[in-house]
Amino acid sequence: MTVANPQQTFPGRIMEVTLPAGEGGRSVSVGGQTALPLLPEGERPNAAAIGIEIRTGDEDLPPSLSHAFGGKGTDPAVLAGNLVEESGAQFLFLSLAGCHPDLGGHAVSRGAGIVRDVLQAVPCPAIVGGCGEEETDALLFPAVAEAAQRPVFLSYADEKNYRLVAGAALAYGHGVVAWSPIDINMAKQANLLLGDIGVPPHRVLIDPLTGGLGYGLEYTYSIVERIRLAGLSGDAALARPILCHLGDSWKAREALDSAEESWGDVIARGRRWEEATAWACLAAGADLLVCRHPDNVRTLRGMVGAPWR
Amino acid sequence: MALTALEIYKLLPKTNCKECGFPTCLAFAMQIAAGKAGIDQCPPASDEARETLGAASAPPLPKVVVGTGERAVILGDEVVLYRHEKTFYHPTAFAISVSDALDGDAFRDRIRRIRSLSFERMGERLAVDMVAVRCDSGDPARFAAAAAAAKEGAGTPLLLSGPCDALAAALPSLGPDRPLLCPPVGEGDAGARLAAPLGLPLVVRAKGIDGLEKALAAARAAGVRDLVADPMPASLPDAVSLSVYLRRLAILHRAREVAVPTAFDLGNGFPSPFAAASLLVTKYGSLLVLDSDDPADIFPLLTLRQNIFTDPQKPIQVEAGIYPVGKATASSPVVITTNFSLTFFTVRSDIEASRVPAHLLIADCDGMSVLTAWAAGRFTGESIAKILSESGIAGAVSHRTLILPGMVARLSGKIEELSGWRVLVGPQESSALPSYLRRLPPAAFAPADA
Amino acid sequence: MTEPLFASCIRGARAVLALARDSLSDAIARRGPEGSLAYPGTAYEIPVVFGLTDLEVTTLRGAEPALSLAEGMIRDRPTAENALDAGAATLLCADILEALGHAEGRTYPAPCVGFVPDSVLRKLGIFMVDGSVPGVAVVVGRASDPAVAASMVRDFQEVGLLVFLAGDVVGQVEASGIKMGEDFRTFPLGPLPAVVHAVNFAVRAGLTFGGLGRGQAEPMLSYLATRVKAFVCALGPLDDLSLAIAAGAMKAGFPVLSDQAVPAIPGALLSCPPGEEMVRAGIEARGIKAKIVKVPVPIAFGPSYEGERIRKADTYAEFGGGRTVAYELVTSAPLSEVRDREIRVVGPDIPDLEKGGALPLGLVVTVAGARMQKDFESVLERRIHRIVNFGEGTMHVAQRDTTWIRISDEAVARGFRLADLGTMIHAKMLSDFENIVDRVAVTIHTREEDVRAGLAGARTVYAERDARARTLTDDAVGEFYSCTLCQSFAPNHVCIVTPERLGLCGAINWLDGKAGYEITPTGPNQPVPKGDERDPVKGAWEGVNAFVREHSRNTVPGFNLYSIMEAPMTSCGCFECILALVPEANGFMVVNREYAGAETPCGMGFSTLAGSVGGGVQTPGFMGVGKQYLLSRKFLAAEGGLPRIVWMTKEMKEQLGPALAKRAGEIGMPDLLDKIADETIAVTPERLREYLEKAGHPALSMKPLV
Repeated sequence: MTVANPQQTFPGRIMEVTLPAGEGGRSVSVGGQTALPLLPEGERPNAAAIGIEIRTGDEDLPPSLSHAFGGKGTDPAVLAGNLVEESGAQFLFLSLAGCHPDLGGHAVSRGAGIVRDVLQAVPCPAIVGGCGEEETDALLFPAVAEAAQRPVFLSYADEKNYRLVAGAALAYGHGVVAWSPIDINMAKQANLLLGDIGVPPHRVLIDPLTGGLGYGLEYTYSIVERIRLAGLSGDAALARPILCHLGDSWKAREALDSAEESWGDVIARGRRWEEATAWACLAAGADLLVCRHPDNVRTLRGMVGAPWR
Repeated sequence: MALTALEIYKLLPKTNCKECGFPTCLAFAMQIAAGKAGIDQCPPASDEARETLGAASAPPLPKVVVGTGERAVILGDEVVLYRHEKTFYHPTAFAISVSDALDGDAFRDRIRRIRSLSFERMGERLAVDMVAVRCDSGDPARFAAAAAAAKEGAGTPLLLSGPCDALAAALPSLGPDRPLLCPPVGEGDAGARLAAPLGLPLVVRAKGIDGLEKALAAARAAGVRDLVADPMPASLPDAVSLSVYLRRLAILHRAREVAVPTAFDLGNGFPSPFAAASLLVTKYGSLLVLDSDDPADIFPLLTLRQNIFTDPQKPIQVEAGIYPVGKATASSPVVITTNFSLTFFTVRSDIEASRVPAHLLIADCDGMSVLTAWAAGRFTGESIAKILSESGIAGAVSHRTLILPGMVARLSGKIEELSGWRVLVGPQESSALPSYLRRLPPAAFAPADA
Repeated sequence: MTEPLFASCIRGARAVLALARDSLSDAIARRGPEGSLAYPGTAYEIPVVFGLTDLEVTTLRGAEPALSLAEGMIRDRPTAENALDAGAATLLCADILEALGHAEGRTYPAPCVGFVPDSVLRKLGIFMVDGSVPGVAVVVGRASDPAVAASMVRDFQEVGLLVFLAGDVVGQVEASGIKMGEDFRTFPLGPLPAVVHAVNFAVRAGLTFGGLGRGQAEPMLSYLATRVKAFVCALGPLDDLSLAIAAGAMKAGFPVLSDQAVPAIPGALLSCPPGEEMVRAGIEARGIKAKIVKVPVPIAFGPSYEGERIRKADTYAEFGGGRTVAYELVTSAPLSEVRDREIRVVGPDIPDLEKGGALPLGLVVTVAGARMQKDFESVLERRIHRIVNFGEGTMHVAQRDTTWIRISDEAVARGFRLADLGTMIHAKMLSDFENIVDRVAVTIHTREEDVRAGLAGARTVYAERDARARTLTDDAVGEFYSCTLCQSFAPNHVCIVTPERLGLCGAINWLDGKAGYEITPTGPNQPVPKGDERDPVKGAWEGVNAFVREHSRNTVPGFNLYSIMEAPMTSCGCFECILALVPEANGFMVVNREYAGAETPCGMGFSTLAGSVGGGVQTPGFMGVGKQYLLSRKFLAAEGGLPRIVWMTKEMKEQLGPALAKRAGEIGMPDLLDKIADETIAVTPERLREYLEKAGHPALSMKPLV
């Protein structure tokens, strides 16, 4: 070949983070690479990990998901068990949306109880998400941290609540998902602040806020690329695995609307809407993807494995 | 290193003759520096200027135009590897295939379905760019007829894929429309001989970068100027790495030998075409050929393309005005925000989630988000008061109460003072709108006193 | 004299050691050497031993080496060092002694809890990390007045402290009816020696939350001293035993406050009257800051009310605004001179007024903090505006001696008084400036003569500040400040803010940057050491360039702070106005963001220019700047400064007019402003050139720019 070698090398290495499993489950490691995603260059000890989200609470399921979940149970522990097994998800993301005052208003103790049940039913690694309502989450995280009988990751710590979430994680040996609103400097600051408190770096994941397809995905795409490039270039505070939660792709009208016939079948379209979001995040550098559709978990898992390691 | 506007200006005639269409030579220089104008627009330019600026403004990845007129498709002509470094200029083109083996009705139906792959999003029309006519019949005459029918039916530029005798049969009638020729691997030389005299763009197909380098050199030697490369990946990972490496060679290494737009045939049984298309939209594919005509596949892909090819420094804007959400009536709340598309869509979907019908009033703020627009002086008490009086919202509702984004609570007094409307300060984050709206007392939107 | 004190500590340590030895042999005699020795409900064996030594103690026999180690730490010479080591030995012995009791099920009678298990530690530890439990108060001994002990505990509870009680004080507090237990974060431990449970609690906090392991004594002591903000209140006479325990506390970095006449050891032992005084002293000794969750005022308070206007008709009381004399002032003072939360209203208050009445106002805020600097006073003072506007029914306009405050009828009806104004300012100053402000006191004067006297003083301060601002020059400081807030949309843009060049958004000056850094050390404002000077005229420094390279992620090699033609600063997108070259006029035009027209002498309006100039790239000949930068002595210093301005929008001329005229006067061109064209004079380069020639604009005869 007379043209140059197009492979790139970087001085940095992304921190390896392990999400531990329960008894009988397989733990998942991500990070550890010295290269950009999806390329046969550098070292890449771990493939991207694909997880599935289960949400508690009174929410209408998008048609595509209600089709996929049909007959798999409504109890979170049962549904989680079925979906994880069927989809081959490597980890579970349990969102306690039901504790939100508008989505069921579950008592904190009920949220914690669900965590306990689900972790017992499903041995794979788990990330537990709050309900998004500040005051409730302030009570929920300590309760969840205590209820979880094995190490999980708490999602998420932001600029306001990071001390509380970090404290809850430290008290019971959990990890922390550090969230920032599509802002590379805030992502870095979040990691530094968690470090100051004493959360070990191998127990932190970056959540850069993932916009759904058509609704800000491009911002996430670029911020993930920038975080990854900065990390590989040697900025240790950004050399952490990145988690992209694809939940917003299910808020798009295009993923939900069954009335527009020219848009095609809503069941197929909804799934594709999430899948396209997932591929873009992977291409940008995401190390963990949280899907809702089990078929997407299966598809993504089938393809992010060996050849790209 | 690209030239700065100032360096370019120094090379221009400095006469402000306006022949370029810009009011001053400096304004023209700024446009050249941004890659949005060329020295050929300046008739009085000196030879020195032409030479220097011609080379300096030549993009590392050449531009290839397929088709003619309004629907012409531009491939390549990119300058960066990451969109945050500047922007990606020319969106990945999508071509949907049609086989010349289909008989009359099936063929027409297929073309009709391809043509209907067109969607409105954020004030843009997202559509398939090309039709790829495949020669499966082996019959040049049938292929030529199918290609002509595809052109007629779809109205898009064509990718003609088939043996050279079939391509040759189609060219007499379609040549003037600048189709992209795509001969099979073994017929590269013959394809080049077809394309060169007509000045048509040609897809050069060869395995891997080494293969492409040779094949491209041969095509260039045969006189083809507008080249597109298909590295013929065997798998999805292969497709992505070849695409990335070709683009890196063009941008980082200025390897002119292989610096051409790329084409990937994701039909004909290519594994996981949807995944491949998604990844190649983000990772530098210039033209993708797909067999699927299912809108459930194509709409997400076109939306992804719209996202990735948005200029990161120029947010998409929505039109200012009144947007009713749900069955909004004269006593529904009025919520105001800016015309940054992301802001608009977020707020609209949060209002939808509340199930409380409302009027969403959108202010023209150059596509800035609420806080940015406020900081920039585009979302102020004065501008909001003006919208309240000029948008027609006063005629659409019987009350005079406005819900203001919590981030700009400080504007409330000014708005009340200038407009006479009462201001309720909404939540700081749009995500809190559903609970906020549900808890609003209906009395807040009782008809205003006369 | 401290010698007898040290001797007493050492004697106490020996006594505890002897007691532990006796109990241990007794237990071995009854249960055998392999009998287990453990607290219930902990993963950390005997926590003090676990945390400070590498000995593993799980059996009775295993405790022997720990006691021998303790014995080795007790030396008889009465020095400070020996006393502290004896204190540490006391803690080891006491923890073993207590564990012996717990292992055999000997518990203390209710309400005493003895050992606090890990489960409680984890729960409460979260709030210690979170800051909602801002510290730990350990109250031991016997109060001479039980009511005083009770009131101290109540005060601690109010601030949210974790409280441990040991000794007779437990009974005294219980008798007073104060609620105790986990829900109240107050733990009655037991008799005096049980105080070691407060220590083993703190040690376990280090093991659980500090990421420390067995036997990491040094980092453990440092964790206890810096992260666990604990202090001891020792009530009543101190015997050898209590002094030995106190020495242990001091070794762990917990200051001890005694109500007895003890010789003071700065930072470790101080004498202090019990009650409110001791509460304050303890909290201040550890720099504990209570989180103010809700500002205790009778009106709603928050950013939602910021834009609220109070009309004249709705106004109950008014201050300043021309009706009365009024001023506001923030000054800093040494920590010892400011009593936090002290809010004084001197003179008539709101209820003394009729509706629509007015009073003079002298609003004086005194702040103190270990990291407070005099330069931040003006930054804090400007914040008063927002703070007062946060109240529902309070409105603030202007600043300094033009301040104007209105209080609404509704607020007054809800009981709002002037002291509440002080409460609002106290709470927000502490929370908004957490890292630099430790104490805030507010005094509000409403008597005309007081206000007039205060105003004279305040005006001196304003004048000093203004004088200081004038001496704050780029040459006089060693570091500039960065602002990278805009990197979210201009990825490689770095603003360098200097005393003589404010941020291009116009919103942040050098002092704001400096204060911003002190407030959030990991935030977007970072100090930028100037480093070696490379070109004083163009404004180039090694340090600045290195910072810019790093923070633009190697895309911008550096810049000249005072040049627009050669390696100028990058522009993000928030600039207030744009400077653009007009080559035909050998100068620059200025167009501000509000200018909607597309017609300017360079052929581009604001929005077209902004599209080319923004995004964090260097564009020689063009630059986004803050409006005030035009008035700086360093304005375009490399190109010749203000005389290079040939065109400016009419709106900017009006806004900057007087200041610009003054600046023009300073450089000896008093009529410069008249020579600068605007859109009513020229919107083409040709027309502009004509005007400049007619007006005799200096730019035409300056060194050619292109």
